[in-house]
Amino acid sequence: MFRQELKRIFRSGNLYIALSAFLICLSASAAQIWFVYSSSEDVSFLSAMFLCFAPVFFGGTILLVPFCAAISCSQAQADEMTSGNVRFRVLRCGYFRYSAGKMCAGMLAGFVSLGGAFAIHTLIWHLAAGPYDPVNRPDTVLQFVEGTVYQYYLQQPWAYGAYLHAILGFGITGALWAAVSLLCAVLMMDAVLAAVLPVLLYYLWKTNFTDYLFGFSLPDFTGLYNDGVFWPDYWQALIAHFLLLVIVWIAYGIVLKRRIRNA
Amino acid sequence: MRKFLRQSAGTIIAGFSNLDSWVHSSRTWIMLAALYLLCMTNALRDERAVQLAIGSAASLNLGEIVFLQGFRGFNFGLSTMIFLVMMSTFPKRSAYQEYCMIRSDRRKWFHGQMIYAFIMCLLFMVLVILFTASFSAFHFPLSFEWGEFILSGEASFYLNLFIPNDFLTNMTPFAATLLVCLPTLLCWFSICMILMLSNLFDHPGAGIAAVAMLLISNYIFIQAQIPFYPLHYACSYYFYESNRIGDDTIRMLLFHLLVNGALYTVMRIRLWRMDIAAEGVQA
Repeated sequence: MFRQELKRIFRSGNLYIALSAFLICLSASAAQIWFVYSSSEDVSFLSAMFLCFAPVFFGGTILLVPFCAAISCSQAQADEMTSGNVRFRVLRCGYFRYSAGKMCAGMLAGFVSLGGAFAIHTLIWHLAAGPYDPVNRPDTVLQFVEGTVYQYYLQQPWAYGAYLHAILGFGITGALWAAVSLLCAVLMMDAVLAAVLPVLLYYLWKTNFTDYLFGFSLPDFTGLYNDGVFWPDYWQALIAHFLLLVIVWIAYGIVLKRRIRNA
Repeated sequence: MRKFLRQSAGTIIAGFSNLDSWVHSSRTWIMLAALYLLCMTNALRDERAVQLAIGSAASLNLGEIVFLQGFRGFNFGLSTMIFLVMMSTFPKRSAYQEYCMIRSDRRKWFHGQMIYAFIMCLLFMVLVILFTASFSAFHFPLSFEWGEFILSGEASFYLNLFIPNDFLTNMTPFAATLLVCLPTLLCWFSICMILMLSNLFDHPGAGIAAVAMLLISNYIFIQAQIPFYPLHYACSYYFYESNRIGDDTIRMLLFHLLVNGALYTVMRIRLWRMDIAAEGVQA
């Protein structure tokens, strides 16, 4: 089931549309910085490190995260629910294999669409602008706040740990939001809502609406790749993502079972 | 007059028969709830920003805060996305719609849809303003004059917005709000026209995909700080760099007139050649 689902997702265009949209948003922002500063004498912004991370921290790429993760996998799920095909598939492979296969493949699609896009973006700017090398190019040295996650990675050659950290961070975030979109797809049985609801939830979380309404803040969900994050915040964000994923998975299983029985 | 009213009745009925399926759609109610939360966070975020900056939110008044929200297009990207989802099935090609088209005529049916679309855009705009005002009313004093905080330019600094002087010197907050809402309203109407065009060509998904692509590309262009972006004259963004509001507003109106005129012409041509087919029924 998992293999079959993976084949379906990777053969459909949605995953590649999501990956391209995220990559274009990242690289277009970096290209603009590249064109502006390559003609000036100030070369401090022309390292792979800055061009890779500037679109994330200073651009608006963050808002595209749930949309790209959602469209990579939720459309097929919503189509299966509305067409009734889900019951035939469950009959063939069983409920547990179906739900686990669907969820794992969807999360992998979310991981690849965001993590893959960031990996390609890193590769492009690593080749175009040259690696982050403070010894040979001292004018491109970057400063992060003392004690933050990225400051730790700067000590490694080419700061490669920072790239891996961000790829993994985007991937995990993508996997979580892909799972949320699958839940929306089985809950609403509507392809449009399955793509849009995660974006709205994500935006509300980003604006810290729980603080306005109830007086407490949720952990920062950009903590897995953001630059101003300290290690305790990072672990807190990781645990929050894991807990949310477990809740979403359980809810997905319950709703799916209910839909199959009563649809 | 009575004859005119009788003739117009078919047009109005054809248009507003969409309302029933719109009200009974889950998309509508979920998006209305999302809109309510969006307006709440927009209003409370500004209140928090002003409070953090100068210690009291009372330096802005209700008229000003609604103007500031309208100036940002009420968070243009997200509010437009919500509107797009709510109107995504427009015009619903139900059997009753096709019946209306046969009983009146294609032209009347088409004009009815346009009237319906425009009234829905107006309704959505009124809802957005009401939601925003209802949250802000608890935190900001009721006044419809420009206050010292906004006139001195401090608001622009703290809220990271450039507010052209024409608004502050020549208009009241109410008039300025109406003006900044106009491009957003027309943009939503153009979206309805695109949805209708794709529906008349029997590809309803293409219209939604086209508008979604337009919104995403607009977002990417803005983030990449490319000087011109696809919806530059279609929404209130152009006020950000505007020094002559009058000229720019006329340019914006012309832009919408041209786009909607072109869409109208294509749809009129299509209408005469179109097969009348309801969902699952071919006539």
